[in-house]
Amino acid sequence: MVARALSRDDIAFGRAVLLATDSLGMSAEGAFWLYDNRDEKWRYFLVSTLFGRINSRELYLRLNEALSKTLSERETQDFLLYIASPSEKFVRDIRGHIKTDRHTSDPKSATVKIGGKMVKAWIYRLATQLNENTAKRVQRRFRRRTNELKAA
Amino acid sequence: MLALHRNPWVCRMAQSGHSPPTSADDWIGVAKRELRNLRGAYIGQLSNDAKVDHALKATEAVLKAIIWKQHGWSSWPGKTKGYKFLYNHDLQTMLDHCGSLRSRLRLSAHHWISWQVLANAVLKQSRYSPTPPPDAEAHEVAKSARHPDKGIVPWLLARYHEMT
Repeated sequence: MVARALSRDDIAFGRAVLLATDSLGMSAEGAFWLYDNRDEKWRYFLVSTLFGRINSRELYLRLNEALSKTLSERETQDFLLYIASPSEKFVRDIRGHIKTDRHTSDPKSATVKIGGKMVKAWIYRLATQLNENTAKRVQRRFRRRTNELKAA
Repeated sequence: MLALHRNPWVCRMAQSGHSPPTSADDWIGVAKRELRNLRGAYIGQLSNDAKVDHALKATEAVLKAIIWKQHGWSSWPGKTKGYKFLYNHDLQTMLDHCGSLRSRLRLSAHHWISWQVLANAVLKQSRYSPTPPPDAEAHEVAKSARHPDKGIVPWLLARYHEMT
């Protein structure tokens, strides 16, 4: 089955979301779109070590509040954000194909193998997992900046 | 790995002695049963897989009830073109078939977060990550499904009962 092409707007928006999380001090290890052949849909994933360190309800709450302020409400209204940990199997599978540095955000098209199936992807970043000390620092910084943004 | 991922739901219900739903109210019965099973999973100290499985199945069942009522079907559609989303654990598409529920859900920040947590969990469990979730994540998923004030299932049940 031929994957439906991801629109330029979606590719640009995915990068804007990643950069917005960078401005929150999140230091996400990864961000990418994956095409689901079964549902014929592209889905956007943010890969962060904070998923698992901060409970997921709090993480979504902080991201929703922050992204609605840093990106336009119109853009975020229908946007669906999936979050994964860098240690999850499918993330490790993709990192087996493409590895980037921690700061890149240039989108690259790729075909990756996940669970034995070839999957189309657009990858902005996929770096190795943060070490424990850095993760603790990132967690404190993310909470501080999202608190500041909420109070502003 | 979740049983949800391995077997079609109806087959599992047949194997476990439950009849496939024959009405929207039957799906509501499934949702309520799964909520009870979720509570039982905590009491019985079952695996995180089991807790997440019951939470996701309760959510999916109440969505199916709403879709059935919304469309006024006489029977549950088969797995044909146009209805595959009913068999793929694709909660997002199911929500899109529930009339204006998505926009109503977005108006409640805590319910929207619950929805995001559940949609995130079901996607990864059914597509990408067959690894058992850690305790904290399983608890977040369960809370997002069943919490009386913030949970999706009680919220959707209330919307179902509002429908004429």
